[in-house]
Amino acid sequence: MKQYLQRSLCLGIILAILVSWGTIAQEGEVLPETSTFEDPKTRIWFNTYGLIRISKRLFWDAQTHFRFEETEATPFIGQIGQIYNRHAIGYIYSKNINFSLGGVLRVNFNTDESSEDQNVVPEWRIWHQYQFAMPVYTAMIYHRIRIEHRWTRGFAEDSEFIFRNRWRYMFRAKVPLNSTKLEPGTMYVSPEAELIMQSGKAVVGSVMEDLRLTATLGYILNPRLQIAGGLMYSQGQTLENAGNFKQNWTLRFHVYFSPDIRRVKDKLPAIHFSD
Amino acid sequence: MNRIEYPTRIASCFIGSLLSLILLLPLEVQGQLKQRYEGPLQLGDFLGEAEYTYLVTEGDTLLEGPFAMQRSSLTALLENKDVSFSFLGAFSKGYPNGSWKFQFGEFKSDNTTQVVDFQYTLAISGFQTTAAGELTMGKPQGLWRISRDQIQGSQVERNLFKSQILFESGIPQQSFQIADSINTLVGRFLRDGVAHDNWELYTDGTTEAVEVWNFEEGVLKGIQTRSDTEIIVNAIFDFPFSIDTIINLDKRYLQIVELWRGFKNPGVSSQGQVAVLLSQNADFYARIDGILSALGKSSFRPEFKVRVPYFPLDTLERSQLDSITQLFATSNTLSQGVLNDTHLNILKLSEKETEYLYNVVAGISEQFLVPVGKIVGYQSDGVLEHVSREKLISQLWPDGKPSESISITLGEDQNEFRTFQGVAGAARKWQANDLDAVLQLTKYAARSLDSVAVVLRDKSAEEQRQQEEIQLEEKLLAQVNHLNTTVDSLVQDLPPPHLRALQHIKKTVADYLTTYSSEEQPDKKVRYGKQLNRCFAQMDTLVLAVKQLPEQSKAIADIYQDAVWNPFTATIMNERVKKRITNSYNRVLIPYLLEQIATELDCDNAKTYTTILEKLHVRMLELREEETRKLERKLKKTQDPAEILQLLNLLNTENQK
Repeated sequence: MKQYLQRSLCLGIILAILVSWGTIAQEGEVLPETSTFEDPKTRIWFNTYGLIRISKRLFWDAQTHFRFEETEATPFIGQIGQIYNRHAIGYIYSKNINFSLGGVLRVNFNTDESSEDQNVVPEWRIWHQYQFAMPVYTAMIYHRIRIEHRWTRGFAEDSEFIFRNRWRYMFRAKVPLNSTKLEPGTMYVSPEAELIMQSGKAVVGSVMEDLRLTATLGYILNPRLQIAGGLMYSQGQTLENAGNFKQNWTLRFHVYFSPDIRRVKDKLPAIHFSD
Repeated sequence: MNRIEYPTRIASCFIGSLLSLILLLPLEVQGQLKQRYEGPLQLGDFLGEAEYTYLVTEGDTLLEGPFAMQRSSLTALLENKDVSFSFLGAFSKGYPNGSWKFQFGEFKSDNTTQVVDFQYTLAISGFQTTAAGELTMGKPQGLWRISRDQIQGSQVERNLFKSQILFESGIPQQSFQIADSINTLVGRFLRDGVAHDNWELYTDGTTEAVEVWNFEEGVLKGIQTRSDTEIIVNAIFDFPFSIDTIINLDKRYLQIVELWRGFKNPGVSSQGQVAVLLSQNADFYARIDGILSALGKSSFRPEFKVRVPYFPLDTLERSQLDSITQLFATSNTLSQGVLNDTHLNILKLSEKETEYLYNVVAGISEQFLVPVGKIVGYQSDGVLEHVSREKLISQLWPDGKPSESISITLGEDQNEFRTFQGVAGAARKWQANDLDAVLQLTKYAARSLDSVAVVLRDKSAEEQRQQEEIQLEEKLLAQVNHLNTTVDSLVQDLPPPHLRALQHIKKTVADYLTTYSSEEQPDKKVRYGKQLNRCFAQMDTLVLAVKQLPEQSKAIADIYQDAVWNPFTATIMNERVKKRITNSYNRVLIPYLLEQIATELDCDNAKTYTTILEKLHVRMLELREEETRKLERKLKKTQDPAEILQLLNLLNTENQK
């Protein structure tokens, strides 16, 4: 069963890569019946992920992302795009399964250099997430289902908040390169594929909001600190026109930290969740 | 509680047990109170369970009423053999009084049991001695029987000894009979216990006495012995006695008789059977007297009275005897020391001079000391005053006094001769047969022995030193070989700093050995060798300690870890904990100690390094479990090994360097 799952996931990733390259090949044609692919934008994201242990089964998920994007003159880091604050309380069901529920405040900056609208608008989300991990040989694979309820508005002065749901599935693997397991001092490679679907009254046809394909290289400094960096290609239908696909190349840099603020005596035993 | 005083004649062990018992009793002692004791008691060599009653009269404790004491052990009997005893009797006002019975047994068992009338019975074999009779206020009264029987399968197999003596207030009366399995001695006393008339010894199957001691009012006139063909009558003493005295017929008397008999008949030396029987009888009575004396006021010896000649010692003779005794004791110790010296016994086989000197000591011992020793013995036995000194001394040297020059034969075939000569002309002083001559002769022997022994002692010491040196060197070489083998076998497996330390240990040991072999002074060499022996043992331990370090480091690394669940990978990772401690260990202390060993090692500090390494490991294991936040803070500030050792409480050992 495990092997079957693995194989099909593998196939899925390959297929997704092929399809995405295929669509890029169609770029340039502008026909009402065929999709249009915008030129890829370049972006750079600096992300911090904190999972702060607060009790035997609960943790505080605290993420802050700084997302930059190109300007005419500067690729990747030309201007600030979004500042992104994601928080949640997580529940550790077992070593391999955990759940989270929380909120997001994203601050969106107007990156349209010609726009005369507002420079900054907020975006609100409620989100919940279900993550499943499993060991495969020396590697670990992860399935992440994340559901977000999202209120967004445009930069125009009179813009109203619109409500949408986002349906996200991510497959990720972490393969140790210089060790037989993920332990301090380990360099690992992490391929990811995430499909983000959306729904809501405002969504007409543009159900695939984003498909993200990432390759990341990470390093485990110690059990409480890891760093990683990678390159992501993504594409998705614009809300305005389902036949229109935006594309991005994003450099991503991550810091993962997981402090444990419990008192020493509460930490023990640290690993037995089923007691 | 009253302080109890006890008659001085009672054995101290008995006082001890009784006092502790009485002091513990919560009784108010008023006037006379009869009290009872039941428990362990020791009387001389006898330790058993006793049961008796006693009176406490104005602070005095007196045995009163029945007395029983016994011991037997079934376990001992089944395992090997049991020595049992049983004393039954009674006391009156502290005196043994009334009917008494003593039994002594030595039994073995064949370990086969039978059940008879609801009782297990076990057949025993061995010997039983029984003494029974009446005592009146501590003195034997009436007929006393002593017998010793051989027991086979719980039956009396045969009688080995039997004595029957009639007493009146402790004084033997009328006739007595003493017998062993072959001979029977019959004799009689006058009313005052003085031996009188013929004491006759009969052997199985003869109707006529084979040995007769003829007494006349205590004086032994002669001993008549009969063989198949003739009757020999031997006079013993010279008559008439110029002075005489009455003594008990005991071992001392038998010894006096034996000496006088020797004077009269130098050829005949065998003791007669009468003496043997009397001697055995005296032994049995002495044993019972020992027990009764330990318990109360008694006098339990068969007072067979006899008359002997008396030659009192004058003041001069006494002082001469004192000097002789003293000189003899010293010389005898000296000569025995030489004769039993193993080194000399070996050395004399290979070295002529030693053989000569050794034989001189043997000669002096045989010709001078042995006879003098006899005189000393007679004096201490109280025999000397009852024999003629002149006769005794001339008999001790039947071939005349030894010469001052002693001829020694040497060589395997005893065909070489040398003569030892002490002080010239000394022999003139010891020609007379008196104590002064003996003193002169003893002095000469002592002086000669001294002069020889000094030389021999040096030879023995030298031989001993050489032997010691050889053994020591063998030991040292074995130690060095062992150490080298160990180090060489580790070359492959250890990191360079460890190897460097080990190589240095090896080199240090080799250097010490070189210093040892270049030492020329024999005494110093042995002393130094002994030090090295200890030192090399410590070096060996140090090698082992260094050898274990990598394993210990790994063990420490393993335990200084916590398993932590990482939420990003969803895996459990080991996290190093208390890193300041492990870093101090791995990066400061171990390199420092290895460096010290590789540069500073010597015999004085080898043990210290070993101890520090051992204690450090133990301390590291302890620190994993202890609360160490403060320590870690302090460790953060220092890289100084001495300070770190102090922080880990290991500096005390360091100071012992």
